[in-house]
Amino acid sequence: MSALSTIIRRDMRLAARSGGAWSYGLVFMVFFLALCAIALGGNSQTLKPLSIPLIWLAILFSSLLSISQIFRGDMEDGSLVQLKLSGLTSMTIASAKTISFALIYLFPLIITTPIWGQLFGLGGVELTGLLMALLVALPAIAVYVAVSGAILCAKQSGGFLAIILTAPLLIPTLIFGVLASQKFSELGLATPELRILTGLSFLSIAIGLPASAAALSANLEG
Amino acid sequence: MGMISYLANPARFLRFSKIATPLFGWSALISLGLGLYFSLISSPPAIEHGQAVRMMYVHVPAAWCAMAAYTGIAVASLVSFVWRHELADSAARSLALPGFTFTALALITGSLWGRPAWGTWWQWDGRMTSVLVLLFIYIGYMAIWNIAERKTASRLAAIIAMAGWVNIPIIKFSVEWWNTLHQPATLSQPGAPGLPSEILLPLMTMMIAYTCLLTWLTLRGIEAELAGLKAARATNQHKPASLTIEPV
Amino acid sequence: MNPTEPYPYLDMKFQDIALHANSLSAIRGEKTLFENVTFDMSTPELIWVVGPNGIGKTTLLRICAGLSRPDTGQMSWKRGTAPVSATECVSFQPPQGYAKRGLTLAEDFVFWSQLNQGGESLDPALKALGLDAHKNTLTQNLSTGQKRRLSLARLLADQRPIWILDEPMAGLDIDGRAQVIQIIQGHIARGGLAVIASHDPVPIPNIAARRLSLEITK
Repeated sequence: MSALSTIIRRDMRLAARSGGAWSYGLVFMVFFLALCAIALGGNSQTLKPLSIPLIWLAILFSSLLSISQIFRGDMEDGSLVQLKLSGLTSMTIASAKTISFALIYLFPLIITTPIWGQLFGLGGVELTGLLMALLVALPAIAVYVAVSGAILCAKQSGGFLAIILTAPLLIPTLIFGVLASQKFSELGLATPELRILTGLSFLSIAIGLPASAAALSANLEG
Repeated sequence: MGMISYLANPARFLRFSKIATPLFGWSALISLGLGLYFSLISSPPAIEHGQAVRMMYVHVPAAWCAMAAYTGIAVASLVSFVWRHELADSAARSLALPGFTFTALALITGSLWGRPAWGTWWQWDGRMTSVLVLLFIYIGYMAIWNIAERKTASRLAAIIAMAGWVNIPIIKFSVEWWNTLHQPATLSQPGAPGLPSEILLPLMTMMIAYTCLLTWLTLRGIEAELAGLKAARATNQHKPASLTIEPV
Repeated sequence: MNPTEPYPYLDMKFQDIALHANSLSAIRGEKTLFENVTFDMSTPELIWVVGPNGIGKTTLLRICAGLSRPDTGQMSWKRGTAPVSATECVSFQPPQGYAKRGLTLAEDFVFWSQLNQGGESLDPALKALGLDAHKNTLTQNLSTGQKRRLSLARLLADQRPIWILDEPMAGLDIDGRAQVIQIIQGHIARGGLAVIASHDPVPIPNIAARRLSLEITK
């Protein structure tokens, strides 16, 4: 536990000194949403029903944009090797880095959605539903993006592959995330999709963390 | 399992494949010939679908092989991951391209079937969507093999294959849930239970033919890969470093 | 530079430690880099690993550090007679060190010490290498020599009995080399083992040393 928090605290400190690298995903998301609104004609009647799926897509693509931030830096400067030598298991390393990624790169995307929701005329209940679903899905998004990050951490470029690898894993989260966000205003916490989304998040941790850990080990051994 | 461990030795595998490969090859050819005759000529058009029913005979076996090949990849990946076995890597890798091709074939024939049956080339229904996702998974799996040195790549590929395998039922469940919400219209699907025997015979023959074809292609793939490795090792001029240890 | 007391732990002897390499081989792609590499280190000593670039020195070092697995053969580490895992007894240093951009020297040092549950006090190591004055400098602003001394300070602080070092003297001036040599000497004198890849091994007085050469087979 202490190793986990030591690594997470170091990553937070590094992010704070990274000259704003943590905000690139956020900037991308804003641009993406603005361009979508413009491409769709800027008419709020057209925009409103599409806003939830678009915000979900924006978050998924933004999170993929930060994929190289998860493991690559520590791979390149040899930190991962040293973490391994200090007796930490790949599972601990993968967990710590995934949590750092979720906190530093994904959390800002999610908590600012109420602001971007305004661009599409989303109201209070809709925003609550969207925020709720995104927070529930946060582990699934973080873990599956981290799997691709771990697989590609020894490779200089891999943005294209990251999308191909991550997309199939994230499809269930996307489907239930959008449905849960949309139906929350009618059913609230009883929304079955929200419950399934919660289940998917737990499942993703059970599948994704060991997969990241194994990929990390494979890349470190090579 | 006994069979797998017996064949795990490349030399023994080659002795096995020397007989098995032509056997599956010829079986594929013969059953494909028979199957095509049954399905295109001797079987009657279906009452509901007319001549389009014949598309089913190429479509259903392709979808079956797409799934079977992926299952094979997942099993071989597990063996490769746990026992670090080169032959299991080769098997998984050799299944990928035929599997991908059958998946693409299933999608294309499905869409050709869909045109007369539904009046549209593409329908975002549960089956077609999950087969499309399977195609994505195949593409990702094949791409992994090129990102690293073989030993590392085989482990990474095995990890992604296993993660993908666990996800397939979840994807299917999600897509079906989503589909029933958005498209309540019931679609006529081929492969309903209680098929009459004049449809069952060509279908079964084609299933056997496709399966033999998949097996043949995979065995050929493994043979080619083993031969490639052997040739690379034979032509390789590199000798291991010579070692001396002396006190200084 | 302050080379007065470069090795502060001389009186803290290591428990008996041993390293056994048993017919190791490594295959990369189609190449067999080396095979049948066998050696034992059971008394305090240093092994220089020499050989041309690309012959497999780094691979051998990574195997000795338990980071890569040999394709055949076994690598084992023992404390007394009990087998231990590499993560309990090995320090490994890549040629360029591994200081983290964005952290100050002290932050970086403390981070690793916390993870490795290193020595009781961190200061002796930093002091020994004359780094106290740079504690609040960001690692990217350190000079090459200072970075190298930071790596050495970590080796000291980690208190691991087996050192696996890849080119620890590359790019250092005469003073810097002298310091590295003093530290290695101190480590062996304290009962430690070292496996060091180097382009030009230098004689180190008063310690047992062997040379393991990997050469291109004609």
